[in-house]
Amino acid sequence: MQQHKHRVLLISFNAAAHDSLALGYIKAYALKDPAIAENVDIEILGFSDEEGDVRQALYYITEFKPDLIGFSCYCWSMGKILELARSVKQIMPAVPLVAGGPEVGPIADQYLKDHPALDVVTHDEGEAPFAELLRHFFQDKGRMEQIAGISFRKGQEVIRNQDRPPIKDLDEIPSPYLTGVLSPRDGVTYLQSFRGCPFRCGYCYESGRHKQLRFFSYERVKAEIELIMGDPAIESFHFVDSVFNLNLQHLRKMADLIHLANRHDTRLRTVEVFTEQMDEEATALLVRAGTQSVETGPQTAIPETQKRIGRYFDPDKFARGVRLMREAGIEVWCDLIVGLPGDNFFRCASSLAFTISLSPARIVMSILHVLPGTPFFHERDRFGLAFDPVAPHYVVANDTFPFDEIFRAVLFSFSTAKEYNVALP
Amino acid sequence: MITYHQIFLGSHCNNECVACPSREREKACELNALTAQIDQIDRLDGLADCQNVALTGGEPLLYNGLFPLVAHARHKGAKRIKLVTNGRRLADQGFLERLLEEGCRIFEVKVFGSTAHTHDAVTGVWGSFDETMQGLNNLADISNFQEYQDAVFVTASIGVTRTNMQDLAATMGLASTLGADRIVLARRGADFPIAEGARIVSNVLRTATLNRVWSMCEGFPPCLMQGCEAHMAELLQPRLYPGDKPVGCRTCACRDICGGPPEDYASEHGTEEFVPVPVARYLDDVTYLARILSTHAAA
Repeated sequence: MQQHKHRVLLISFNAAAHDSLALGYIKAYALKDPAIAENVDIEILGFSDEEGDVRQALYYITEFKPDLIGFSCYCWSMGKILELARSVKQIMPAVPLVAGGPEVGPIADQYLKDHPALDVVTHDEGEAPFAELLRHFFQDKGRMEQIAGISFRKGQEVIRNQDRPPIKDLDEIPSPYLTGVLSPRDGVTYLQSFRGCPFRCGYCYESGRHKQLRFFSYERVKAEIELIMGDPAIESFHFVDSVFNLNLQHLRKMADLIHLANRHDTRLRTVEVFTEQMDEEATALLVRAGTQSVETGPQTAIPETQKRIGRYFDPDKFARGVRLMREAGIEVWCDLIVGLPGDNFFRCASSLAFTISLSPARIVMSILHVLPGTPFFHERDRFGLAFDPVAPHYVVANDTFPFDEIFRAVLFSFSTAKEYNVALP
Repeated sequence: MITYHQIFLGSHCNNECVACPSREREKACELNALTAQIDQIDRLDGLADCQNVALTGGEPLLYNGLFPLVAHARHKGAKRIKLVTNGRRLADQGFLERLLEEGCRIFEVKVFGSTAHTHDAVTGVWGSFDETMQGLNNLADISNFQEYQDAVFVTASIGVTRTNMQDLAATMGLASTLGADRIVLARRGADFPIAEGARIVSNVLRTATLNRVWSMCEGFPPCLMQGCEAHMAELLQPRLYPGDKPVGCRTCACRDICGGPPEDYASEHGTEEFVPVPVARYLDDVTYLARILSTHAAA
């Protein structure tokens, strides 16, 4: 008689209908354990954050009848996830609900205290602790107290276990694409060649994490690229690397891998680049990699603010980098953030004027989120930061930028960026 | 903030606004002369302001050679083609669709009142209000089509005159209801006390902010717009004025970023209403903005 397989559902509400690479890693890593692969069915359920409906997800859950649910948590999706978790707990109180991701990890204990529907929260990288949780729940292996990298609820108490060091050799995580966990789809397929970031920007989650960069092997990345680019239906894909042009050596290697695998004129879209580092050679390498578009700062064009928030900024080098990429036919998307400490209304206007003067293909405006785990979150007093403690943690004010000015700056800059972005192709 | 190369198509217009600055200029310009103007824009393919062309009048939508002119601008690399219009011809939906297809996506529509009574009194043409409103409605409707979602930008440019001063708040409300992406309150003429106009405009700007619409004003100096400096077009596109100032302005904190009392007004009414600003905490940042803009212009 065939043994009943445990059923696990991994849920995310994704921005812009992208697939969740993070959940792909979680599933691929868990299935590496033959005992889990044999005894547990894991399904990934991704919703569009804009259109995904909580009750629709709840209906799916009641149909699927999971034995455990994992949620991938980001600041933009947290409201929906908590609403869903509360509802699930009402009708399936015995099903453990596990939350992980950058929104919850840095304040895991707080989330457990504030949200009784959640049972476990992972602190940082989720692959290893999640696999251990599956072993604990479905194979009776280990005690919860022994699983490093999680906090969990025990009765009325929240127990915080020790943190878990990040996985040193990223190749220990099987590729979700090469293992068939994720199916590449046109325009929404993400790859990753390394984890971490060499920069320490005050608003960014990556800067509050591990100092060391960790790489997937080039052989592994090559195999993923060849799989994706071998499919003529995939016209474009992305890399989620924090800085695609990390250094010339890495960029050269990546450009070669992509160029040699590119048989169907597949385009690389919206990779993040460090523009001050772009010279003629780096630009030529981006072209070689078939890069259609890049996303970059400056976030603010005020040198004083840049310094204060921990960023390197050289306006001349930045302008040159944008020009080189633009002239090479690469669409450059420039990002600006309203609400940074050090800025004010007219400084935002200067940043916008500077950015417009560079003629990027698009200007992307956003409002500062003071995200858990970031330097801004930890050092809020130093920056005089006031923000909503509830995700998505919009800034309310800082020591140079009162709320009325932030509100005006948002109206002004979003309106101006819209006028800029209606440009004809 | 986004600067446009202005192409004047001639003064022909179907409105008869009293304070119109272009009434005395040539009736209609030759298409060849206009395309030559576009050809002469330096580095049309390069810097941001050279990619931006504004077609003005008169009423540019009445110009016979409009579509060939737009096609020529596109051919030469223009990415943003703005129409500064009274909006009356936009009441014809087919005409509007043709404009969008040809590449006109940015519209600055002049509005003078929230009712036909006020608007038509300024334009001098009975029925102009209904057509302008229909034009704005059509722009709002077409922005809802998938094809043009986030691809059309509309500024409602409200001319501030003695006639419509008490109707400005309602006019702003109407424009924001019609989905304007930006509202500009521009002083037209010198036939009303500027300080009184500034007070009313300041209140309208604050109300627009409450309505979450970005609004700006033109033609009012910083000394009359204290607390609303962020909304001043002159400070968002600032110039430095190092020269001599009227005596009353010499102690003003804004003297280097303000051209002084508007000439058209001061010559008729004097400068008593203009009071020096003691402290302007935004001065350094506006000066920095001016430098960024001038660096770009010189690049």
